Amino acid sequence: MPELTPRPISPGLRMPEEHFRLMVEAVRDYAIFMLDPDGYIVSWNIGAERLKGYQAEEIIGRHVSTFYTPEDRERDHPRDELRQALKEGRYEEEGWRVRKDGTRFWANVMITAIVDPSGRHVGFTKVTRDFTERKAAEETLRRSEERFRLLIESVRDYAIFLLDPDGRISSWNSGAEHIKGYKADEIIGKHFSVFYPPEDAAAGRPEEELRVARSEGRYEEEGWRLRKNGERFWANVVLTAIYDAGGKVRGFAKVTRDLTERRRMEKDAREVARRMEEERERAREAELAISLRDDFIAIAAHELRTPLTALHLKLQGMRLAAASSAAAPASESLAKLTERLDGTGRHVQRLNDLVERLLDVARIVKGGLQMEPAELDLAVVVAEVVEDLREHALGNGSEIRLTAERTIGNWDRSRVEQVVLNLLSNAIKYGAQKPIDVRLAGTPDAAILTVTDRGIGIPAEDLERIFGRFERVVGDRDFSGLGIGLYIARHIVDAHGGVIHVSSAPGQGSVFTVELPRRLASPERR
Amino acid sequence: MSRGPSARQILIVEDDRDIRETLAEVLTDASYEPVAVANGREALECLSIGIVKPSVILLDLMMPVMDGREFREIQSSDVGLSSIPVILFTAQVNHEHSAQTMGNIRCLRKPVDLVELLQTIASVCDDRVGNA
Repeated sequence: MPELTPRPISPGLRMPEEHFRLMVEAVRDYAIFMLDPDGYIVSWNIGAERLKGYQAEEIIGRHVSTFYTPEDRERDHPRDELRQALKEGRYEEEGWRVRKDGTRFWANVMITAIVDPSGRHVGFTKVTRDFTERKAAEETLRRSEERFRLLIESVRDYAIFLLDPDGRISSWNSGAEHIKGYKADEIIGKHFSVFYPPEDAAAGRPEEELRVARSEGRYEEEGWRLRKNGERFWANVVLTAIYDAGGKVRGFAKVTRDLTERRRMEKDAREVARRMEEERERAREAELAISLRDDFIAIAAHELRTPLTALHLKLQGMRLAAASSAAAPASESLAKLTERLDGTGRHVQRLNDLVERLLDVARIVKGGLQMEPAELDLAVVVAEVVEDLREHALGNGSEIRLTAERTIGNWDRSRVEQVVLNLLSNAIKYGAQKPIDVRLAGTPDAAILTVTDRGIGIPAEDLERIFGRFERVVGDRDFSGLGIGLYIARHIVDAHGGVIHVSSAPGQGSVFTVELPRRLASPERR
Repeated sequence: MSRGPSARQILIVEDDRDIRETLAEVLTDASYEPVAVANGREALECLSIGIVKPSVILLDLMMPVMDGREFREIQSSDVGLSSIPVILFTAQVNHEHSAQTMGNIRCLRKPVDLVELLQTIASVCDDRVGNA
């Protein structure tokens, strides 16, 4: 006989046996019945009748194995249960049982051995509950969880994994493997800080993220993470705390997306946009340059055509005159012809000057003007230019007043002459028929030339521009010329190591000042 | 017909000195009496005080102070001057368009052919004599 656990009942709590019997019989939701020590049924209640389908008179006296499946009976399970209950005092299990009509149900079964006060084994009570619905619900839940797990595992574009409360990895999906490069068996159990660049891990970023997720429920960021091979990728990370029923953190779910490609594409898109803007800017500049050049070509063509027109007319006139003067005395017509030929010389000279100016521009653009400096007195050069232009200036209503002291230095004579000529021509052109002052003075190191007019002046916003190529402040409707005189003058002065500047105000006239070092600075010093 | 000495007078309005002087020279050779001025304003001054009574005005387009277009507007709206024929003398590429917009006047493009210039002047003078 196995050892039995006696269950003595306090005599004060004992209820009349008849009452107890009635109560048990009335219980509807539990099958409660008794077996004799060999397993034969000796009592039956309403709950048993409802659950198993047998009436008391049908079943009392039959063996408990009636309720078991053929498989269980085959392996002698019913008797095993009873032996177990006798040995342990009670036995509990869940398993399939069979109703009278042959259908099965999932039963929760508790078998208790009954021992009388003298220790004699008198039988068993058996309480059975129908857990079929609960089992179905559990099964549904289990399947749902399984499907969910499979779904999570199959996601490739997101790394989805779980961390325990300390941050150690407890699950791993194929997206995580794909993005981070670790297989599940390599990474599960490791701390998630392995995904962080060393400097972030050292700064405690992983722990900080867990702390935020623990207190806020969620943490999200974008940042650099490491793959197994050490490569960095730009990640979007969402860390969510998982709580148990008691509100305690059970762990964390982490979802990581690889945004490296997107980030690269965004960067590329910005780069493309920036380059396009640069291209547009270059195109605008090129258009402006082309437009300036076209204007210049038109102006140059116009300027060339003017002396050509005069020359053309003159030559045709001479031809007509020659034809019609056949009868005139030869000496008379010859004198006239000579005079006319002198005139053509002036037109040709003018054409030549224009072509020279154009070539100057080309030389400056290509790489600078070549200077041939020689010792000279600048006062002589300035006086010559003034004399050449005096009549022209008077024709325009302006008197030129010259004050020049002897100033010796090393300069390219023809180039310096060109500067004086340009400044003086401008003063005459824009001088509003008022006197023009030309002054030349020397300092120990340099010559200072000023040309002062009292004409229309230059607006402040144009002061810098006037030294540019093809620039002219006033439209060509009023003033002819190539608009390159000051550009050339500035480059000649530059080539001499000097400076040219202007002070002016509209209506107040202009003062151009040229400072030319007496000696050309050596190339090393420049 | 009391034009007398003015019948062959031609007013040249041209800002470029070389062209102005050369035109005067060749027109003198062709027995005209040229009077040359440098811009529209000078031309109007000469005409208004009556020191010139030209048969034809030879007019440049682009000039400082007063350009050819402005001169033509004033001249054509002045009853005393509007009857004087004008020949436009310009370097502009679209010179014919300019001529049309300025009251459908005759137009020559620089550099001009002298024979064509003399023929044009002669025909305008003849028209004027014929109409008078």
